[in-house]
Amino acid sequence: MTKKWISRADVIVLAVLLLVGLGLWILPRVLPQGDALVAEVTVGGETVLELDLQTATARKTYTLENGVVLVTENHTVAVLSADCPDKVCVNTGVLSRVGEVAACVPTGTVVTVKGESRAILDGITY
Amino acid sequence: MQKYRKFLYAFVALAVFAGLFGGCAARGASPVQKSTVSMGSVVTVKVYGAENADGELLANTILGAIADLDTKVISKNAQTSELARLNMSEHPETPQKVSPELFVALRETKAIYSQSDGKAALASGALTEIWGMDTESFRVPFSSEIESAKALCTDETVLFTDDGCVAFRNGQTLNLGSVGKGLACDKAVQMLAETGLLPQNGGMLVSVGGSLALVGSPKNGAPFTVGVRNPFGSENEHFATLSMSGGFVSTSGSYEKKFEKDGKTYHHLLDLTTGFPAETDLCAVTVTAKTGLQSDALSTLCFLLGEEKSLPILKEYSAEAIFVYTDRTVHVTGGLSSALQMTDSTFKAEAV
Repeated sequence: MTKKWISRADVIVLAVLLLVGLGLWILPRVLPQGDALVAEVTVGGETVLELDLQTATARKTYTLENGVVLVTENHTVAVLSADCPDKVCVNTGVLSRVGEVAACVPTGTVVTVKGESRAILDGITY
Repeated sequence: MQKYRKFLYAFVALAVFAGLFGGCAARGASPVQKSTVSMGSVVTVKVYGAENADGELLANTILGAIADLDTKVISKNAQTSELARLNMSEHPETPQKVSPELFVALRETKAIYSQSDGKAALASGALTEIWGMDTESFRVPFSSEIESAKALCTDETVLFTDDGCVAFRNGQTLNLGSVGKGLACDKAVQMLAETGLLPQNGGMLVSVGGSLALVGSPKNGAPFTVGVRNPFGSENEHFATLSMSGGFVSTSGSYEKKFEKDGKTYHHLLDLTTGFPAETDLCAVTVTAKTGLQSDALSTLCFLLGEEKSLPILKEYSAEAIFVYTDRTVHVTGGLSSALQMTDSTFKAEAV
C-alpha cells in the first residue's frame, strides 16, 4: 500500500476540489442571463422607466406619457405602438440581448437592454 | 510520496483558482452605455474598461458635443446652425467667412462628391428639400419641380477661398445630411482625445445612426465585433460581422428612410443626375475608412456609382467596402475579406 502513488483519500479530496472548481466555472456560463436583464427607457436622456426582463414572462404593456407603448413578454421588450409617422421603433422588433436598442426619434424615446452578460456584438452598422 | 502529494494538491488548487479568475476576467465588466436621440437618429456611446462614473462623464461629454455639432454647426433644419444661416444669406455669391470646422467639412464633402459623375453633391439641398428628405415628410415632387431643382444641385458654383470663405449661387442649398453622422463620429473621437478620458487598455464605440467610430479595444486588446445589418431584416438583425480594431464604418442602404406611393417604393439616396432615388441592384454598401466623414460620404458615393466605378475611388482613400446586392450576393474588397465573417447562410460572399 505504501507504494501507491496516491491514496483513496487523495482521490476524494482532489475530486471534490475539481468538482467545486468546475462548478464555479460552469455555473455563470450556463446561466449567462442569470444576472439582471433590464430594459432602460429614456425620454430626452432622462430615465423614465426600468423594466426587469428577467422576471418578465407574461405579456404586459406599458404606456409612456408621450404615447409610446412598450410590451414585455418572455424576457423580451418591444415597442408596440407610437404616435410617429415612420414607425421605425415598432419595426425594430423584439429586443432580448444586452446592448440592443430601439428608438423613437420624434419623441426622443430610447429603449436599451442592459445587463452583465457580454453582448454578441459591440455595435451594428446600418 | 508525501512531497509529491503536496505538489499535486498545490497544482490542482492553483489550476482551479486560475480557472476561476480566468473565468471572471473573461466575463468582464459590461461597458458603460448611454443613448440619446440627436441628428434625427439614435446616438449611442459605449465606454469599455472604465469606472462607471468616468464612463458616464465621457459618454455625456460626447453626446453633448454631438448634439452641439448638429444644432450649432451642420444642421440644415435647425435655424440656429451655422450652415442654416449660411444657406439663408441674401448674397451667397459674396464669399463668407465660416468656422474652420464647417469649412473643412464642406470642402472635404465637395472633394469626395466631385468624383460622383454629378450623382452626389454638397449643394444637394434643392432636391432633398422637395422630396421632403430633410423633414421626413416624404412626397414625390412634380417633374417640373425636379427639373428646376436639379439645375441648382451642382458643386461647380460652390467655391472655397484660401482664407476660409465659402461662396455659392443664389438659390443653392449646401447639405451635409449625407455626411452628418460621419462628422459626428469624427467629433466624438476628437472629444475623446481632448478630454483624455479614454480608459487605459479600454475602448470606446460611438454609433450615430449606424455610422460607427471605434477606438481602443472592448476587451484585452481584442478587436470590436461589428454587425453588418441585414438589408432584408429588421434593424437589429445582421448577416455578417466585421472584426475591427479601430477606425470608422458607415453603411448606406435603400432600406433606410423610404416611403411608398402608388405602389412604388422610394428610398432616400437621390441620384442628382435624374433627380430620383438611384436605380441600382445594390441594396446596401458598407465602407470602412480613416475618418467618419470619409466612410459616410464614400458609402453614399459607392451606392450611387456602383461597384465598378467605386473601386478606384475607395483605393484612393485607402477605404474598403462591402457591396450587398438585391440577390443576396455580397462583394467584399480585399482588405476586408479576412475581417468579414458571414453569419447568415442565405447570403453569398465573393471577394472582389
